Amino acid sequence: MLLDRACPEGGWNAGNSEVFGVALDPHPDFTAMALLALRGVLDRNEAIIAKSLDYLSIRLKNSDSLYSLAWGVLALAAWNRRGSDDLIQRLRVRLTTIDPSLVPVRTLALAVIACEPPSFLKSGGQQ
Amino acid sequence: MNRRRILEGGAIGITGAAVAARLWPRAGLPRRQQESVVAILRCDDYATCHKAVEDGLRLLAPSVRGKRVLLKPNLVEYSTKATINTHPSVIAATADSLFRLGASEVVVADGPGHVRDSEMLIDESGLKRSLSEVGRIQFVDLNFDAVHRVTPRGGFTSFRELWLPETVLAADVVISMPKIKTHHWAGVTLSLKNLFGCIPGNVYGWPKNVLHWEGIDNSVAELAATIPIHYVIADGIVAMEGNGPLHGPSRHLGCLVFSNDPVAADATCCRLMGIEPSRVGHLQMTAPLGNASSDRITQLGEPVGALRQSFVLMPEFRHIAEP
Repeated sequence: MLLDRACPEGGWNAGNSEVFGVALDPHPDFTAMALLALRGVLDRNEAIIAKSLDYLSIRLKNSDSLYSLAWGVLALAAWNRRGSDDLIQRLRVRLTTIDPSLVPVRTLALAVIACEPPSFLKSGGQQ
Repeated sequence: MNRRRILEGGAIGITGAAVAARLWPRAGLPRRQQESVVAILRCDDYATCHKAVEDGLRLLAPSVRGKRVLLKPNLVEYSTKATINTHPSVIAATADSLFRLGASEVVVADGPGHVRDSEMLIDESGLKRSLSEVGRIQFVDLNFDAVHRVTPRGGFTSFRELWLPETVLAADVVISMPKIKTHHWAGVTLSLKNLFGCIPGNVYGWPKNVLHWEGIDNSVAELAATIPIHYVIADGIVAMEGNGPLHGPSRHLGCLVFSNDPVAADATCCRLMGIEPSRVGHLQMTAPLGNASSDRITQLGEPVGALRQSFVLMPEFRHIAEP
């Protein structure tokens, strides 16, 4: 089902990949979740994986959203994708400059985890 | 147009009132007795919308002094290619004007149906910056707000309960602020359809398919009967036609629409788009909640005819066009 719902240009959103013949845009968090789910199932050279990792790297280049950055870091790190270190650095900077009381706990927790991606994420993927 | 659509369109047009009466399932629901006010303010661009918002609110004269006001814009997802969301300038101008009218608190809140990351959406769309320029405005992500169980009041769906955000339920005044758009599954998306954003994703998931499974029109009517919309400010400066709510081309309509009745507001917006409101499913169903007939609307500002256009409709919805 995940492969069936993949957006034509890579990535995933919360629903269909197209409606009335028009491709829908992917979103970073859902893309990261799908990439994490497919780790160990598909090879990184599979077109959908490569395109989705590209999408994630590019889409998050200018984003400061803790939530999406965190999901992006976890997915990119899981696939040993270069660029995750840059995102981690930005996450850390953001975490030191925000007022934590204004950030939902779920987002804060995700961001903290992503700052030091768990080793099982880095080691378990089929590369 | 195929034969089925012709039959549907004809039947809807002829029997709209009778169907609406039949579809109104819960007899105890109060029907609106008083006439409604709609004000159409011409406004050609967002840079000058503050004055139009002030003028519109002066005509509408909303009762907000000392009250907690909830602004519910239409935030779906951000795209550089399409005008999807209620423009930040309109939202900020409204909040600023409401403070001037004595509102004690203004909250901007939405639960986008497609995205979980509202922070990214309000940042990239410019809303975050616009709200911070006004100050004192809190943005609440309704997808993750605390929820309370509410009994649906319409009987249009199989829902025995609805879990609704605390921020919505606690507001003294709810102002629905849609972007005027056509919609590929609902015909139009205006102040009533905008209520979908009050359904918390944390309970119902994304993209809130439970509402689609119940039928979009049924779900809109259920929410309209359950969540009171006190006022409407619709962003029609740049609207969307065709394959809305995400992929239609922009259409310059050049106006803002203000009302104290969501049914009257949506019916008027339909007329501005060249759409017959009685042919829109959820407007038929919600008709008793307000005044869709122009005979029951006190029209202020510009007349509809001065700004009316013929919006492009998806083939599936050509039957809702005005004859």
